[in-house]
Amino acid sequence: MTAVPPAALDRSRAPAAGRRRPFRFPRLEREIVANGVELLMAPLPGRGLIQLDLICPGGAQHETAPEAGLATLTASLLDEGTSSASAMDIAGRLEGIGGALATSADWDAIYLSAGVPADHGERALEVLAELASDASFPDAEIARLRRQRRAELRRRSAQPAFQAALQLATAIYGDGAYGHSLLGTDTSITNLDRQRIVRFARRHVAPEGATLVAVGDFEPETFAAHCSRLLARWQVVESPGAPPAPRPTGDRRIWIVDRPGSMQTELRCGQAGIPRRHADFAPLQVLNSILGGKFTSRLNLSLRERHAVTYGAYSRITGRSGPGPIVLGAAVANEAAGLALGEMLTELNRLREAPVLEEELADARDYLLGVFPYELQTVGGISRRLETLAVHGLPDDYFADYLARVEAVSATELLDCARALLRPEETAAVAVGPAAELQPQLEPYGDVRVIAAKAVPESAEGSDSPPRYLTINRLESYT
Amino acid sequence: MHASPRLPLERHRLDNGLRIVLQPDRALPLVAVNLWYHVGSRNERPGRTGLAHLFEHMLFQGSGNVGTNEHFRYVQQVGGVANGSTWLDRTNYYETMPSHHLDLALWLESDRMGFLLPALDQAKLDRQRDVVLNERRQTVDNQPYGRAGERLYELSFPLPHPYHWPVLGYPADLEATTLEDVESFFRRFYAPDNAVLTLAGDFEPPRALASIERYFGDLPRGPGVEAPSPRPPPRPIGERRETMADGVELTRIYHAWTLPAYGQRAWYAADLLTSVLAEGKSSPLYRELVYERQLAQDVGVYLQPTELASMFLVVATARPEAEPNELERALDDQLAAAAARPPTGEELERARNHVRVDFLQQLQSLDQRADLLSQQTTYFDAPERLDGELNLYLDVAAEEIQAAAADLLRPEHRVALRVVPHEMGA
Repeated sequence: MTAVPPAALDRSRAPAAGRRRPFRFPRLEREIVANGVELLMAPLPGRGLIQLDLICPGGAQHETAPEAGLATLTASLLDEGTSSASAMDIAGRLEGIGGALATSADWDAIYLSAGVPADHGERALEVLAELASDASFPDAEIARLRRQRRAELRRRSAQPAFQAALQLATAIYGDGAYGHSLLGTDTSITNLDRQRIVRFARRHVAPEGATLVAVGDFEPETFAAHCSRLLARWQVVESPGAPPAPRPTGDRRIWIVDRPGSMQTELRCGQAGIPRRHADFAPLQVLNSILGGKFTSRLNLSLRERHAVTYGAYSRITGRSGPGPIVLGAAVANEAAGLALGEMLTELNRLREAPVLEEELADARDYLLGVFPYELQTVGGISRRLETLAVHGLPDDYFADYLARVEAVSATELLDCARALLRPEETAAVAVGPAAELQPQLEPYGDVRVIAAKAVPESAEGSDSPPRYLTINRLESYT
Repeated sequence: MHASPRLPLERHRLDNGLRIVLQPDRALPLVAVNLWYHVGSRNERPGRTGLAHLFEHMLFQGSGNVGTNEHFRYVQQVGGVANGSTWLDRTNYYETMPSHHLDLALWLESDRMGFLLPALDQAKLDRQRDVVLNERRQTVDNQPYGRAGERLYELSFPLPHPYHWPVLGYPADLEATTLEDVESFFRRFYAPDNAVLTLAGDFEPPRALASIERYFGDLPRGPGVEAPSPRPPPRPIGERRETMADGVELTRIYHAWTLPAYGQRAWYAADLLTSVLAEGKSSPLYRELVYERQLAQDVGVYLQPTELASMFLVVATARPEAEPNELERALDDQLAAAAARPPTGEELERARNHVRVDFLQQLQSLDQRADLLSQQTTYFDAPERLDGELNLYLDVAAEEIQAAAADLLRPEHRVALRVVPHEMGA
């Protein structure tokens, strides 16, 4: 090949950037198609794939603690039978063409999703419309899924990370909304009879306020016409009513879940944050990035790269219609649990005490701005963005506003935001590990209670119905 | 259905042996930079297991012109996403950048390919060893079923087969690893002629190639690494059974077989078999074991794409009320049925359609596309094979899938591992 003379190369400094090319967010189209259902489309010609997500607002925020798990169990029954099709008939319809069907629920909504090759968009739509309007909740399927759910709870109860996430949710939110597992408990599942499930579905799988997000390779006008036709028979049956508001306890609680012989400690601490629609959500995302939202965050550099007591430390904010949690976490060496909790609380305090360095601010800001298009590569990634708009009632230009907001954020604004939102003195903490070794390490930070492991876990994101297919340790590569 | 997408490709080779694949796609202003080194845990020796992976961590600790932890900082402060991973046959390093920062990624990757040694020191090694020991606790020792994976490889690939030991290494070996081990590993394996560099995304090929030449062109060749050839482990003379007690609530059954290496025709037949057997709720394993008889909480079938030989794995978690032996018999019945008759036209079509959609899904993202191009170039010296691989699947006949089940998955050739709750273990 022809060589360019390398003589001029100076390796001692990073090369200058070229000229930035702008990116375009996919063009969106909105249309009311039937009975109050809004169709939100991002047509991407040539992709060969279509992703559909039918989003029914409401979700688990409408369930009470004694009926915990009702939203996810209802969701998982939506594809287990209709008046004219059995569970296995339904499964075969999209799987035969290489497609996939999924139903799920989180605190904010129930979701029916289908991913199919481009020439089968109409079929996918037919399936979603049939499930939404005509699920029959057969007794045998209810009994089967309740047994499966109870086994799932048992399986997950052995996972320290799930124990930690669940106990922290209870420590932050008590027994109100957000305080229990979306999967329910062994006891609550037995309370979920057909009558409750059907009533929940009539109220919360309804067209009023629902959004169908469609992303991929389809022709919008034809597709909208199909939607109007196929969703016409989906009718409002019963008014959903208002959900109870979450009531964070605001207590400093430190709980140890005793796990004798544990090789490591799953440590979490956190507090209630702000609703997804809150005006400060964007600056909170910048703060989170600095605190624990990326590899070069304060928490990870401290606990992994300076102290080497963990494989990774992070912080995470969760956008919900109410005040979702702000969580800091790491799996740490048992002997370092006290040090790690101390570092977490110190980092929370530091954000309230002094403005972040200009350099840190620039790093976080440019990270969030630069990384934004990354999720727009795939149909699924774009769907997730549009789901956020749909679930939280955000306008089409929300992400443009978000990027402008991030670009303009100042260290002073972040300091104000941290002082208003972070409350280290109310931070609850959970450590899953050997209590005898952990207790003396954690006592300096507050009253410690040792509690027994619950046989009720929860996913870290708190958003899934139980996985249909196995996820094993993939025997794969290690990063 | 859709034909396989035709990816525009260019390939080049620098004088120092570095192979280059360029796959331009201007849809978004992003570029994926992906570097595969043809070295993995199979290049280690007993007593120094885990070195390839520990080494991968060291490559993020700075190099001649890049300070400690500055690699991630350089990438993240412009909105890039970076990581690396280690497996049996290879180690990869990658970053997806806003495309106007392509040169930054090339500078970072070339600096650590050429100038790692001046930046190495004992303190960094000690810290990363501790990080890796914590990684091992988090992903293996402290996870329910976490040790099953490495036990399956130990049993399926007896020593001296180099797939025998875990990628993460044994803790005692990690403790014993010295700075000299790390240095000699670098000298032996980290050189342009043992690597493939792929760019996918928003760039102009001539300019990108000139930049690559500029940053990588003066790096010296390595001592040369012998190309591997398929190396199946000795055929087992009987089933090997083992039960392991662990902190789990539900018993899990693993059946593993060693199969031909990735890339061979029989491998594609076996991979279609995984899909026929267990992909989706309408698959026979799900329908029979999870749905109808409710013996299993979940079931999955997997085939690994590895170079010397591959592992075919059937995994099922037993319901609390189920008798594990009954679950095992039900699994056997399903495999026996697959061996007794070819898949029906409908089953075959379902599996083929699944492969087609999987291809489209994977190729959407630049990082996966670049990684797969590096894979095809590293293993087969043929990036265009990625486009053609779909046809390798579609060419497989129903009878070949039956043959895979009948000839390759006999009970007497398998490893049968059971993970049971502590109170049930001895």
